[in-house]
Amino acid sequence: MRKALTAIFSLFFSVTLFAIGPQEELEAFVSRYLAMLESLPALEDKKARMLEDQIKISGSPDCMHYADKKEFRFSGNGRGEFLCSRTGKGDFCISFPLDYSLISGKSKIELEKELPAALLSFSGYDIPLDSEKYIKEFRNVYKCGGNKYYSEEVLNVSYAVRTENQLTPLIDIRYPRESVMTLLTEPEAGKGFDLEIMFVRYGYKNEVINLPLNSFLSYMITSGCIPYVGIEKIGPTEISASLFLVNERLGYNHVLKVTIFSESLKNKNGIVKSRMNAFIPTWNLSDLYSK
Amino acid sequence: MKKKLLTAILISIIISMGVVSAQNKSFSASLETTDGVLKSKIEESLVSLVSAFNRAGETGSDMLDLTGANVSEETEKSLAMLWKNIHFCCPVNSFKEILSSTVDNNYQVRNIPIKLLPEPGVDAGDRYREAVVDFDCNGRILSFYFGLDNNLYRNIVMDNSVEDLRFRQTILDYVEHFRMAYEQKDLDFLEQVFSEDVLIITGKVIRTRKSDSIFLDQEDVSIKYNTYGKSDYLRRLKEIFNTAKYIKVKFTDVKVSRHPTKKGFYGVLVKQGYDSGYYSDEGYVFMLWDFTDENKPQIHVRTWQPYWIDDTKSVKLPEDRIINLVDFEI
Repeated sequence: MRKALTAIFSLFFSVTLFAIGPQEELEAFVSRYLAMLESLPALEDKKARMLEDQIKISGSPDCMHYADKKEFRFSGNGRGEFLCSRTGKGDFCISFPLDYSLISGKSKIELEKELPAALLSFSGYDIPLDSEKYIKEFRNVYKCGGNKYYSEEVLNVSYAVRTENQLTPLIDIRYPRESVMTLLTEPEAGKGFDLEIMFVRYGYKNEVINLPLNSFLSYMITSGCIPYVGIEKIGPTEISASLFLVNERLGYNHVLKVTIFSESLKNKNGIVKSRMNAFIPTWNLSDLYSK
Repeated sequence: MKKKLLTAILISIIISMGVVSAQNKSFSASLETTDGVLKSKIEESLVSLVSAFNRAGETGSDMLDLTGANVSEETEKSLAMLWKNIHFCCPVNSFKEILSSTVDNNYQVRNIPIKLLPEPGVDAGDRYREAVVDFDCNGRILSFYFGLDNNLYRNIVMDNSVEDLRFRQTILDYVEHFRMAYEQKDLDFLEQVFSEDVLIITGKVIRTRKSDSIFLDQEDVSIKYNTYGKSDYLRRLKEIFNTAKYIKVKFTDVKVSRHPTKKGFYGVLVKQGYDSGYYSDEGYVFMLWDFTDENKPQIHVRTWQPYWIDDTKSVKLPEDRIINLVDFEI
């Protein structure tokens, strides 16, 4: 009985059943880290641990409990700061590398292993199309976003068409580039499409899962990832694209090579195939385009 | 009075010349494709369509005359509706573009420059657009529409920078797996990731007291390099893994560079911190990754050089001595 309970307990805590936002994850990390430091008896041990983890603390941690303002900010060189303050009672600041293994308390191997189950059991809501974010582009076509990622061709952009006072995501075989951009950035557009993901895991191991595309995108956006899409090739039967899910706050990216079949685009439903490298660390990256 | 009359005559001559030249303006198209028959059919259709726009645009007609143009019935209807709302013309006399295939086995010409003609009471806004025309294999026009973002398709055809960005990011994933393999003491994975002909280079700082110096602390510093093959290096590593209680490896300051000519080959330089309890060091690790098999990238070269070249950790290895992609012929 006890063994069974332990198994259920460990399963519950080892699999994230829902995606939580980056702010909540950062707060959880700070609380956990301070508790861990508290458990170390000697001051020298605390200092050594902080040095090893490249953590710097200023102010009193008690401020965490009564703070009326909690704020995260980037401090450069792959580092972030979590600030807590209350007027008249001082501030507390913890500075840390944006290393997701440190923040989550899990190794990359564990994170890679848990992600498929977390995606399949995602119970959060699907993010609907926010028409207020769309700006008229031309005639009845509307556009949302437009930020680029490293390249002019890798964008966070989606398109929608206005019909009878309602915006619907643009999925149209005549606009393959715009349709694929929309399909991979706007969760609403993914309704009717299934995503097959082949996860690339440590040790050249693979795992394949299938889930609704809109559920996948909703999970990722809720987790704090911003989707950026680049079109690699438009062929006669399929379109190849790269999807970069960038989580700046938590210092990692997911990268997917995606294949969309023209038949699926024409029918506005079907399978989208992908190969995914998950939790790629970006906090320690100094130059992606070094000469 | 005489002067005013002369000016009026001159102005009317200039205006009439302009009209004549506009009416005589002809449009030509040259498409890049290897199929000569298809090329002439599609060029002919495109010229007749654009000429119809130009004619109707110049005369200000509300009717678009597509007589003789090879246009599908559906497209003719949609163009007539479009023309009721907006008038436009092609501002260039000659046009050159690639003829590309579409996902539904038809053909497409993109980036056709279009100028929207001003209408009374309508905001001028952005007057320039680029049009897209789809054709079937007989050169029949299947659809006409305006592109949303100019020139992007051209960029996709000309440059594969998206794939390159994906490779660079995916390499970071394998670099992290490679780092973890040391912490996991995972010889099996290292066996897979190193190519059979891998070149391993490790450096060691050698200090000798300067012979012409009377001071004991003045030394000549040089780095001695040892090279290993795959089996030798893995044998040495196995011994280290067996004796070390734990191994901690940290990679910071990661830099990725692409081989200028060899597609799929990337150099990664990292600053490495190594700690196994009884021994620790800091150094530069350079890896030459071969990404030609995306499913199983391999390392052809792995080098290690010391970060500090003195005992007091005050002198760093000069930047120009750090091994990098340019140091290897592939």
